[in-house]
Amino acid sequence: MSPRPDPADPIFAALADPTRRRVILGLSERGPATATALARDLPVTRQAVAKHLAALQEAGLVTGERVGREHRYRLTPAPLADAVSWMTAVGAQWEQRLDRLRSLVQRRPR
Amino acid sequence: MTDDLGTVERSLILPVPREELWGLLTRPEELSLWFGAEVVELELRPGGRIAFRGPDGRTRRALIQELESPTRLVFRWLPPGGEAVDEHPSMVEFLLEKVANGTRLTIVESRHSTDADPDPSEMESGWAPILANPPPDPPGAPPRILLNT
Repeated sequence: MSPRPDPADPIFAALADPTRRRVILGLSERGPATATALARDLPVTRQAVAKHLAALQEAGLVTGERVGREHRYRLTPAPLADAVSWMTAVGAQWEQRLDRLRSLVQRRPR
Repeated sequence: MTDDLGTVERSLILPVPREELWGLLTRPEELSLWFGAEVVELELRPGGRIAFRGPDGRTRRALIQELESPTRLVFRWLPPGGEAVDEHPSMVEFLLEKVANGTRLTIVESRHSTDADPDPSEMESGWAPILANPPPDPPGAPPRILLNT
């Protein structure tokens, strides 16, 4: 079993890795940051964080700018907004379904 | 409710035995009552197909990945074939756990692709023909219900 990035869905493929999601959270909490700074809060090496940042950049989730000898990364809001709107829509859909299931159970003869 | 980016999870406790709830989730007539779409095809086996026809008349297809009666059902939405750009294939899991006052149902829908890939032989029989040649569902056609239990 290998993670198979779906070309139609690069954002979620990039976010499949839990460390990458923590990198995203790190960037959203502290604002633009370098791989070195992000690695301080994570149980992985700076090199690993740099690789994850490169993958996230490829998916369009972060952008990097050169600062001295390092790159500083920041989140690009649009793709994340897409992820959040998917979750909102799908979450609402399941709540409606589960509400209907609950009333169906309550209406059933005991 | 523990949503992670790309994953939606909802859970509720229903005052019914697990086997009864399993029936509500896996029998086409009953699934149609709460899913918000008519179940027009349901092959209850790993690799089996599910087809839902929504109120808008559009058919949405899925492929059963895992089936452990009466505790777990996992299916994957099939790509909609260019019908809607914003719709991406995702996995849906139903988990049924016995609790003191009934059954806890947890649903997880996730767009992360960390799950095991479908077996290539399954891909051949399950996905390829659907992708290459989606079967038509004319309006008013009788529902095709295939149950292998």
